[in-house]
Amino acid sequence: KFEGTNGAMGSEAEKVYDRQIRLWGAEAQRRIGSSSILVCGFGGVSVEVCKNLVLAGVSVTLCDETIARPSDLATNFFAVPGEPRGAGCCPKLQELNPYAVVRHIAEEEGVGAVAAHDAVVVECGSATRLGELSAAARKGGVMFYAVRADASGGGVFADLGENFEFREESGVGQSAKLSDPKTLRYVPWGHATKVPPQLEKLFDGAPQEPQLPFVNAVVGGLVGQDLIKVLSRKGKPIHNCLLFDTALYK
Amino acid sequence: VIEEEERYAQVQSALGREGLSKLARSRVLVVGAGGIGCEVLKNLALTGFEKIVTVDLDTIDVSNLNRQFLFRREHVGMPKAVVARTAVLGFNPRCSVEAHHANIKESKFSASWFKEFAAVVNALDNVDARRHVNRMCLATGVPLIEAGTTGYLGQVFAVSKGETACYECFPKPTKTVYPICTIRATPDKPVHCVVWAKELFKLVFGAKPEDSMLFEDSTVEKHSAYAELAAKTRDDRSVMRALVTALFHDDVEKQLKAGKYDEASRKPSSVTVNSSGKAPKQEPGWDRRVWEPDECGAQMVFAAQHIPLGTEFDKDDDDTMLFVAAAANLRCLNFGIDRPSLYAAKGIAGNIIPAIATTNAIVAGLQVAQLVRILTKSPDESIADVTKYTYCLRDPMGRMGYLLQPTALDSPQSTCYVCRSAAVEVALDTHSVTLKAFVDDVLKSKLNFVEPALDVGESGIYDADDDRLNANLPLTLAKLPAGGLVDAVVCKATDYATDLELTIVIKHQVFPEDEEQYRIAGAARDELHTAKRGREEDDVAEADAKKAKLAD
Repeated sequence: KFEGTNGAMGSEAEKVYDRQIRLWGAEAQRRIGSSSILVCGFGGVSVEVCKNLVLAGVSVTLCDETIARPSDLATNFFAVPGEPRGAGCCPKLQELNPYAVVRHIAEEEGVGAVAAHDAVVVECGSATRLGELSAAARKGGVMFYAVRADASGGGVFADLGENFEFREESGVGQSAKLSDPKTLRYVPWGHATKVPPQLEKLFDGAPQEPQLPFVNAVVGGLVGQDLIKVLSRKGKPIHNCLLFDTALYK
Repeated sequence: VIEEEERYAQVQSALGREGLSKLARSRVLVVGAGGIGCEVLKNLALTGFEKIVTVDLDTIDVSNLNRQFLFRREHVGMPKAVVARTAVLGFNPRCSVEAHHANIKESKFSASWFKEFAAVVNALDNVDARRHVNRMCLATGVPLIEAGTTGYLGQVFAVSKGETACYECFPKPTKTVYPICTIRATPDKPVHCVVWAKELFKLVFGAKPEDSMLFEDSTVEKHSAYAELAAKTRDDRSVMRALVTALFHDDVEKQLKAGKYDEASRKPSSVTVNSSGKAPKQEPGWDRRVWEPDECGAQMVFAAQHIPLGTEFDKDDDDTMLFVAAAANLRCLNFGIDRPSLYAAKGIAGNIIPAIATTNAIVAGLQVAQLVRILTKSPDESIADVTKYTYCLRDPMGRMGYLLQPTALDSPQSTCYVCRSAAVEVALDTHSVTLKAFVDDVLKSKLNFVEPALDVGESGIYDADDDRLNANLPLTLAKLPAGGLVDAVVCKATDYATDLELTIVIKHQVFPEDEEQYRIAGAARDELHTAKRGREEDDVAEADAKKAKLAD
């Protein structure tokens, strides 16, 4: 009955997105719905981030040819043991939202694909890989997030560029108020110094096992929400790292 | 076989064989399979909990799909608990999941049923059900992990009987009730007009028009210009056109002429509505723009034709919502208030709370993290030692940019009538309130009793299980046996369902007609006998000591 015939957002999508549009508004939804992220290394945190973003309407390109193992099932709930993580998870991730586009590319195409996306999320990256991807992100004006987690907690590093412009928002929906534009300056991955001890594992590309599903859920939720802010240019993002401590719930 | 062992390899590495085994053996209840519930269930299944019970009374709606990720479009209309169960088994076939499409307040979910659980995880969206689960967990000593989310904000905390504050230790905000005169005569906000429109809906289409705020029975002296037409429209929808004119033009003129608004700061003005035209065209953006008066009139007429008598308000019924939005718009126009679009009116009329996946995901992760800590803690650690009241913030706060803010759990509050046997004082008009009203409005509605019984001293006054006392129901409180429930009388209310005993002190007080007819407060200590007071003071000292120990 409420069927619309044209417009960038068909009314069927609006019905699905209703509860989030009432929070961040139609304009932010338009930006979110026309954004895409590249995910290099599809581990336990990334699957949570992707789940959150695809539900919101963000398109996702997966870049991970590692063959999924049975032990991945604890944390990557879309993984199919024996299949490459990117390709194997695509169908189930796509099912979450027909209005977002979920696809996968070969690992060697990763660095080259960065510039075609609004943000890149890297998990389980070696120090070298992280260096390549972060440089490509800086060059292409693409947001860069490096994430990791293990049982003790999680770490996130963000590089949103030399001049990230956004507005803060207070209130929600129709009574929301936007601030004047603000800018934040970020440090590129390669130039980061004074790395906190808890984040060293991220910078070293250390393996992140064992993982716990509920830790990934918290980190993935925090990163997901940060990306939504960044893609909609509304709300203050992390500047420039995030640490989660499982035992302290902090 | 190898695959199954490897499934838990990471969790076992983190928690140890003993820890993993403990989780697998623990029976966990998740109340609610919606936004938070879907995320909790996923976390439990992946972490190695193999005995899961999910209860939810709701069915799946398309507006759930932006966050309740266990559900797909083809599941719309199906029970949430049932579909969630299937999805969970897909994540971990080793789980056994019991799904109940039911209300957690039903008697089959008895105290002995609750007692089987190692812990309860709440994933609810309403205070009423939370209070009930709180009481069941207190009655059985089962740890409860509470959580709530609203938009970008969330909080998680544990409730442990006797050790921490319970869910009801701190009064929760109750639903806003608007005074009748504001709705009927002096609105000044869009919400007042939306409420008015819902009351109009009840008057014209509801099964019991006498329940509407706009109802006028035959004893009323000065009838409104619309009363008779509203009654006629119930049987003949073609009268709607005349009703629209009566509502937004004739009655406003009538009230103004009668001098009703002579002293008022905000005077309404009548609107001439031509409702013989077309309803708003359903093109892109039509639900976001503010409709013109004639469109609203036409919309009301058109929608009315498709609304059968006996329809209850449902924000998801298209015709209902169209009618209410149009009526609210015209009412706002009468009173010079900002008119809402259909989209805005629906949000107000349906009390829609904005919701997203991320906040729920964070909160559910924290809940399961706390659950695992509780179940794997060492015997000398208390629940308050290993959990926190954690707030999820919208933006990074302070110099450290915190997004999660954990604080120490509160101790039980000595004023709590649920977990601390504190007494309450109920103020009401003992000469006009009947026992039935007391049971329904005070005991059940305000104090959340499920199966109440009421005693004064040795005398039974009311008992949900005993029909012989039903003769007392129509009597006013003052006229009840054993001297009646009059000023300063102390009575005892018991809830069989939740094992709760409550001491109530009656206070006789008459309230103005358009205000709340009951006031409930903590009872003054010296109105109770000494033995009880002595026990409370011990509790206070104990609680203060614990708080000092817990403080960072």
